[in-house]
Amino acid sequence: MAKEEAKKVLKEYISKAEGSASEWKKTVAFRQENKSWLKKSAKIAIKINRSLRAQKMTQKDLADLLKVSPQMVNKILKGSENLTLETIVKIEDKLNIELISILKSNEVIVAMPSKGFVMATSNTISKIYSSGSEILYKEDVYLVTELEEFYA
Amino acid sequence: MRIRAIFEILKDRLFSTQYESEKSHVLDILVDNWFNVQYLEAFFEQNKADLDSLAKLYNEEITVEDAIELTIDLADELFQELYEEDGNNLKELFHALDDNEQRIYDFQKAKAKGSYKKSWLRIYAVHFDDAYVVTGGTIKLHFKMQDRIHTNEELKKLTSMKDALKLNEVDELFVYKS
Repeated sequence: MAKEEAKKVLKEYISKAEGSASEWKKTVAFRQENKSWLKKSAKIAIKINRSLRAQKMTQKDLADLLKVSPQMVNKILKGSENLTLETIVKIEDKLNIELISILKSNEVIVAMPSKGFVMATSNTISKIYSSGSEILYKEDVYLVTELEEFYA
Repeated sequence: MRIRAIFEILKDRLFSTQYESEKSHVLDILVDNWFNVQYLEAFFEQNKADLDSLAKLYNEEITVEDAIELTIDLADELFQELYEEDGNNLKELFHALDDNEQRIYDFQKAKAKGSYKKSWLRIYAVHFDDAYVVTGGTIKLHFKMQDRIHTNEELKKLTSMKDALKLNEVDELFVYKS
């Protein structure tokens, strides 16, 4: 009985629904098809959002600096915009941050727990490793060893 | 907050609530928020103490940046599960809100969090018959729902929906105060 009553309630509320029920499905399908660049777009957006917070800047400040509409900046900050290199470089210049970098063939990225990532050449890593530097954690030592073998 | 309408997402099985103050129904809003870096950055910054406590509990370092990326990955996975199976996996996806409840019963408060064990995403629903009526969702970084405003709101929404479905009084009663 209670279930029949509940179904009536549902029916009543469903009759009040206006618009599409499946916008979320479109987004999910779009994300599935475009996962690779959306992930990078999100990473870039994270860095921009963090930089704005650190520099106590608003969305409007960035829009003014870039000479674009606040709506455009909003899309960038959401992390779902397919950014051009021109826009990326413009943001890098205005915020004084690096958003993308291309490694040279003799460069690698080494993870440093608690400190993000550092970029280093194999020689630098060898030097850090042999100096017994305190900045290296146990996990890094394994990584560096592997890299030395790789570059041997 | 008053229920404005309920959208039928999958015939007779999955429904999503729209509240009067909102332009869309809950699933649309969750998809918008959980893939929105700006929203997530503000959320984790605002709930940094809870994020730090959780990281300590897991003995890991979780920065705001990590938390945002993880949330997007978790949301991708959770919504994909909801989308791909066309509702055939709802019983596996949703569990009783109270972890101590083993039995499934009508008008039970339920939650879905995806297959990743440590997921902090929650979609909340009231379950009856074979149907799940989604009432909301949030990022839950702490133990008890009553302990934070945003999770307590979700608890109130669940109770409101449960009452609404059981009482069959559409116009007046299904309001919770936020």
